[in-house]
Amino acid sequence: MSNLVDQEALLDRVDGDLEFLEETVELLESDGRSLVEQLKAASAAGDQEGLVSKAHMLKGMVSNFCADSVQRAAEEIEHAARRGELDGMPPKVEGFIELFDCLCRETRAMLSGEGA
Amino acid sequence: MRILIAEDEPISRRSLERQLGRLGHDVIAASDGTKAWQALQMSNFDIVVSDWDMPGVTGVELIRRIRAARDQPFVYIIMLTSRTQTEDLVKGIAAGADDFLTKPFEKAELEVRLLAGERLVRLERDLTQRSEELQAAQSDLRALADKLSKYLSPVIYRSIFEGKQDARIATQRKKLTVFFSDIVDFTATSESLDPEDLASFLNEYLLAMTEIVIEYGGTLDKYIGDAILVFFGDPETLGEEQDAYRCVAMAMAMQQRMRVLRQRWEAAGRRRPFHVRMGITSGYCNVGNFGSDVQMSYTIIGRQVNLASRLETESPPDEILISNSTWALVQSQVRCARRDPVVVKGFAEAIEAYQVLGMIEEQSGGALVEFSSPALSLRLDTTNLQGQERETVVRELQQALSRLAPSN
Repeated sequence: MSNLVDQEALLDRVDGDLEFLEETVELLESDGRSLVEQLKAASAAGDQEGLVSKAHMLKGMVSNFCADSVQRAAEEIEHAARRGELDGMPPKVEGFIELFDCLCRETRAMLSGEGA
Repeated sequence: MRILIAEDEPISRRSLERQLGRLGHDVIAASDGTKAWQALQMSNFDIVVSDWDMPGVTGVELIRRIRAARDQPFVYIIMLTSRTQTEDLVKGIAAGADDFLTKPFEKAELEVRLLAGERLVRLERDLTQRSEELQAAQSDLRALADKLSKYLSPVIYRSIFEGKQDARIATQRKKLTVFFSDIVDFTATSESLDPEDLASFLNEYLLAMTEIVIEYGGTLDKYIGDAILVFFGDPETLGEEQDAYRCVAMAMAMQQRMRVLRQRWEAAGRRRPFHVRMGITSGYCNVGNFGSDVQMSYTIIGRQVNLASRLETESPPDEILISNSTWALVQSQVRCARRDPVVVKGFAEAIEAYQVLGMIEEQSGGALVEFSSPALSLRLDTTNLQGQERETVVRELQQALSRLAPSN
């Protein structure tokens, strides 16, 4: 799985400021990772409200990285949870986690000059 | 602009904070609605950019609180949300949001929406400032009008300020009831008093009489030294009969008040307390603004004014003399005694005159008790006397009676 991030758009979004981009990537890796864990726990517990709120927040968070597919995956979880469709939730969450990990790697690679 | 961000998601919050800072704004970022509300309590902001979904105080609740705080300066509110559904937009606008921005925000869009916000904030602040200036100017005008009103009859003042009357030279012919009063032997009395004492007594007298004029709805035309000219029927009229009746009732109330004043003055050791004569007539007069565009006076002219003055001169002290024309209007309500006709310059025939004795309802022994002697002045009207006021009257009368007990 590659090229989740529209790197050109992302660099434009941060005005080419890699220092700031690094700050946001660190937030993604720390706060974002913590939210992913909470999402996973909510999914395991069948906690509808927790799923909605964590997926919603992750959706907003990843939207800052010009990675539409990751944002859409979070949005799908949020909408499904809002509708109460919890049965098919674990695979959706797992799929999102994979994308999230990939997003973290891609943005980190961008910072190290590997992805661009 | 001073901008407050309310956003619980850290990357969006930080991105906004950075972007707004780059645009030259003074930015404070709050990590949830509760902290944003606390910041708003401590400081003023021009613009609030708030997320929709936040734990605790949500974006909508935050807007409601801002809009409910009416004593605060205007704040422009942009809702920052990933939601785009119409019902959510409606809910946000109903709560008081001014604009929306969808996440992730576009830098250019954020900038133009902030420009719109800045423009509105400046307009609102300008409006508030102008409104305050207008209120201050209104307050000054009110104070000035209040001072000027002292030179006008309250009825005329009210009529002008309610826009019912114009300040331009214009008169009309109307049937009025005219009242004229004068202090008996005022010249001799004034010579026996210091100018300061004279001014004090005269002002006390004029104030008491003026209060009664206002109470009965008369138009106070002017004070002429110690004389008072009042008319009924313009600018407000209750009909000829009622106008005439109100005028006679006012005169009786004035004489009653004079009895009380005289007792007070005598008790204070004043010699030669004022006695007043009054004359009343009804008929056609010219009424309106007389004078020039520079200075005018709302007054009446005509033979009726001379007649009222003449009747006043012919009246015994402490009495009220009315013409035949007024008597015809009030005879069913006022008991009068016919007097010798009065000869008035300008009137072909002598004028029939009547001395006012009292109200007809008083004669039935109903609600009104009136008595006057050098030691006592009493006027008791029990028509609407009840409750606390009745108890007070009973107590005062009992105290008065106790002073007449043999031991006293």
